[in-house]
Amino acid sequence: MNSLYKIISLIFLSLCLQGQTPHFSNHPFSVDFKNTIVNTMLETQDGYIWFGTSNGLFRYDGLEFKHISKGDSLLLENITALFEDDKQKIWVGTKTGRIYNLKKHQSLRHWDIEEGNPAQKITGFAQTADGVLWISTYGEGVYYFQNGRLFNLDEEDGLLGMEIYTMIRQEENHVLLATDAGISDCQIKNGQGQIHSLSTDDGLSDEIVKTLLKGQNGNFWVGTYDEGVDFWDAEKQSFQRLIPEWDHGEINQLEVFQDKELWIGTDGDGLFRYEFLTKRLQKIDSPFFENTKIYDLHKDVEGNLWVLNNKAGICSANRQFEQVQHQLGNIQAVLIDKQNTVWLGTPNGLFQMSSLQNGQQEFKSIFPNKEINIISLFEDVNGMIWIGTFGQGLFCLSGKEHGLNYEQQKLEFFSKEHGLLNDNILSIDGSDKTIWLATLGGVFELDISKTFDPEKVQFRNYTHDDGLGTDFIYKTLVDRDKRTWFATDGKGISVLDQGKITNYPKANGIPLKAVYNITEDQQGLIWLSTAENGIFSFDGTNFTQLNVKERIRDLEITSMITDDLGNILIVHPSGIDILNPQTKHLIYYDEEVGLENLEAVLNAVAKDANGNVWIGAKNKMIRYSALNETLEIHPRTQIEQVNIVFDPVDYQEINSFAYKQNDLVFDYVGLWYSNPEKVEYRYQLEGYNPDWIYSKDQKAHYSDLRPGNYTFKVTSTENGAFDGEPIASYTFNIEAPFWQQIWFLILVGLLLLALVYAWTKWKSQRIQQEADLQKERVESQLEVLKSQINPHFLFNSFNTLISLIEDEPELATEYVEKLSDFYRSLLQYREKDLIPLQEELQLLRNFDFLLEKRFGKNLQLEIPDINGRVAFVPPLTLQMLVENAVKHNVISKSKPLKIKLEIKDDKLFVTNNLQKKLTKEKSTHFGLQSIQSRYDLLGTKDFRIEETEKEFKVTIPIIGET
Amino acid sequence: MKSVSLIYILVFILLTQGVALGQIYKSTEANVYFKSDAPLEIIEAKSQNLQGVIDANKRTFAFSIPISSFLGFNNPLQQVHFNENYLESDKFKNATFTGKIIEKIDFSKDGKYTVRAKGKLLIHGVSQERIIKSVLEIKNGKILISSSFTVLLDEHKIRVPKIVYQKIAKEILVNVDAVFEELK
Repeated sequence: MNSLYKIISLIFLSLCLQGQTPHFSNHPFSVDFKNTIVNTMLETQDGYIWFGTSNGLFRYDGLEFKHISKGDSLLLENITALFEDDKQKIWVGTKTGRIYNLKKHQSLRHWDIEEGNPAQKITGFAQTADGVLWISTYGEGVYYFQNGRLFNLDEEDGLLGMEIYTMIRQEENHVLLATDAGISDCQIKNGQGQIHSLSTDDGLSDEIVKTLLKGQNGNFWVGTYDEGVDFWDAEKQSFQRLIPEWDHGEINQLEVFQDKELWIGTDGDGLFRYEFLTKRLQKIDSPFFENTKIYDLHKDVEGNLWVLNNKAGICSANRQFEQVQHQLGNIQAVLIDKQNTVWLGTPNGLFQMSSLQNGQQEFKSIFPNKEINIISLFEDVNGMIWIGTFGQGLFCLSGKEHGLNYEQQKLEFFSKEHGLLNDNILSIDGSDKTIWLATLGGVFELDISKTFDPEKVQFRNYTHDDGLGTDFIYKTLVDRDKRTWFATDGKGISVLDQGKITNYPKANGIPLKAVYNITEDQQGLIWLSTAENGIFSFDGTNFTQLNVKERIRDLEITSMITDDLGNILIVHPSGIDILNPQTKHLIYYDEEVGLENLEAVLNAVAKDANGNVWIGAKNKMIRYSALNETLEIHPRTQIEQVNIVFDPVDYQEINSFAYKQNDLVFDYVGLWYSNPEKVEYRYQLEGYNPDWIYSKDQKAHYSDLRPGNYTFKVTSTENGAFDGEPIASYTFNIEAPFWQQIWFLILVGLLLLALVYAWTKWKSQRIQQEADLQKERVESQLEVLKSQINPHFLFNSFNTLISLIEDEPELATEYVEKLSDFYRSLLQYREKDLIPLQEELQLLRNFDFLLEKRFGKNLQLEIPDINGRVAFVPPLTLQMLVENAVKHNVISKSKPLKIKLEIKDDKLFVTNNLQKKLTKEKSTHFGLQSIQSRYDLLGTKDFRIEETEKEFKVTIPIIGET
Repeated sequence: MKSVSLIYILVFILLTQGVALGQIYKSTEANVYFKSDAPLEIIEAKSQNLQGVIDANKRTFAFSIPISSFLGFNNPLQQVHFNENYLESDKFKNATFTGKIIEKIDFSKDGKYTVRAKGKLLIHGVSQERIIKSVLEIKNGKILISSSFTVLLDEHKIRVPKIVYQKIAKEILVNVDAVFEELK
């Protein structure tokens, strides 16, 4: 058996040549813009990608193109240059020299300046650290905009040419211009343009420089018309020609990745890649780029490469994944040896894949014409290749390590006679002294520390009897601490440490059951993938589980490997999850990077010397290179627009709305160009939604929001895990309607207070009035009483009474009765405001009786009869007037006093003839005043006193029925 | 003769661009040949009426050729078609190429130089910016220029009826050989 393999093996056979390329996908425009030429692109700080085309400016979110308008209409000019300045303003230059500006959430505006726009094609913009804005043109040299003025630099200022292909910004306020006669290095110093030239005299390979690419530390690359690429070494101050024999014509664009490779876009010969380390120049085999003119190359923040060309328009590829097609069928085992040769184990034997100088991959068959089902591969410390088969034993290829060619190499075969009791070798690993085989008959150990003699090889077997959980072992791994780990079928993991086997059938109480794969991360944690329970990490004491709940895409995990950056690649048949073991953040990759139908095999991943991971799949090899650059790992979420009652609002400025502006629509986006279809959102309106709302839409609508404070928050994810993703938010408030606002309430309160105040004021006035009336009344009563009990009156009355007693005793009795009636009436009426006129007249008649007895016929008082008329007067008014007349006038036989009472309409007249006493009676003038004020208080103003020489007349209004 | 007056116009154009320090070269002999290599019919013709001037100091140049001066077609009908249908030579009388030589060559030194001439190529009234490679041989004060380039019909809006589409290649190969002497 052994010799048989020796005879048929080791025949060199070249199979196929294939280029290795990233998986490019196309981003087509809608049918309306089918023939649009995409000239240039821009990635802005907010994460958007913009395209300048023959039909205007478009913004792209990975799914849709938004045509940018200018005012009310679309701008359909041919856009040749795009730039974002330090204030996030986008500059747009056209083929005809026009310049437009675009600010966020606004439409394009023509850059209207005094000096006017150039008349030739704008080829670029740049802004130097001193704030100077540079504009390069094809035909008018370069313009610079400083302190609000536009200046020009042309050939007369020392520019090498007026036709500038490309402009880039360099350190310390310099810009470099690519012209037909070399490179012009410009800067503005003290308001003067200073130009320094770099041409063929300085070692430039070609006069015509078409493009420039900024490198680090002042270095830059030069793409020329005929001579390929030059590299300017700033330290040596010289140009180096990069590619000796360049015959692919004009170079339009350059882009660099990780200082490892330069991408070169030509003007008609498609796309190339140059690897600095290997000096390989590879033409990118893709139907998208064949014989095309490349207009722009761009590396985005996620690590995607964008290519604009004249046939396919916009294409992009994830630069982390590349693939090589082959016809070897399923790859079951991958090994990369110390010479960086890739070995591939298949059901049909062993193959080698090696890179050629032109970037293509060559596949060679090592075991031709023989069906050997290879499922595991390992290179030991001595450089020997160990080949494990399924049911066909173990092979070892030696001689390669001594630099022997294939004819001199030896292939050894090991089987039962060497103690290898099981010939299903599922996995091989080893240390500097030992090789470990995982088989379906336990574990086998081989000491390789002594000189290798195939005849004396003897394997040592560990089985269930030696303490292993089971004899079916899928995987073996020797960790950095020289512990040997075994993944078992049904009994979890086992570890052999210093001759002692420890089994871990359970993790935190969960039965591990079948474990397929084991890998060690950079922190020394052991990671294992199980058949049913996802992934566990193990620090020697504790297990941590990662399951579908933790966003592992699915539980079908075929293999795992740790990359150079420390991330763990979890390979599923449907794609790859890249797990950051510290943050547990996962990124999914699948068909968009060319990953699909990965075979469920255990050993088809391996890492090469450059840190690339190779994954074997059906008829292709996938290469994953962890880009060392800082890349975005989250979709960039932002609120795009806020509509209030269907009108967009400048939400960055305005955050307060009236109560009626309570219908809000939020447009938001999560930019993830690597896989835009996968982006999902969750949002919440704090103050309205108690929880997050999960959605695939880029829109949230709220209507009839009540007044209050709100915060709209949105976040997006590409892998279903929202925790830790950045949040975009917008805080605003909806004001209460004016009738609920404090100022209105205060106003109403004040008004109410004023009303109450006015009412109480009025009320108190009324009370005062009442009191005054009362006081008047009391005073008048007092006066009347005073006057009636004044000694004169009593004295006169008593005098009269005395004479009557003597002369007419009967009349005297009547007199006393009338006098007492009179006084009773006075007492009776003093409390009242008004009394019937009838009663007042009765009182007056009593008074008249008393007066008549005193004055006889000298006093004539006429009292009318009112005939049942209902009328009122304040009490004692008439009595007081009559008494006044008696008091102030002479009453004698010769001069009788005539007092006359008349009623006319609603007025009562009291008239007496005026014959004033010479000695004036002492008077308080209270009587008339009292009547006057009582009438005032009653609201009747017609009380009038008229005095002529002969007559004294008082007019009293009669108050009708109340 | 129209072509003679043209040369002075060309010289004038060059002179007005700045003060020339002598060193104006003028074409004395020229052969222009073009060929359209279509599957069904080959069209080819020649002209010797190319006029050109070169300002050696400024490395600027101007060439002109009357379209109707092309002779030697395979048959007279072809010539009629060429002039009337395709190039419309009564409307667009001349083809011109004016511009600048990119390489800084020393016209006083004998030798063979490969240069690129960048300029505006005007054919059929449509101007296209082109960079055309030429071999320049300087010998005893004379300049021998030989150049070969292609003209795309599309680029110059030369419309070919569909029926004869197959007769005419979309690309026309042009060869120019000319001798220049210093103008004194």
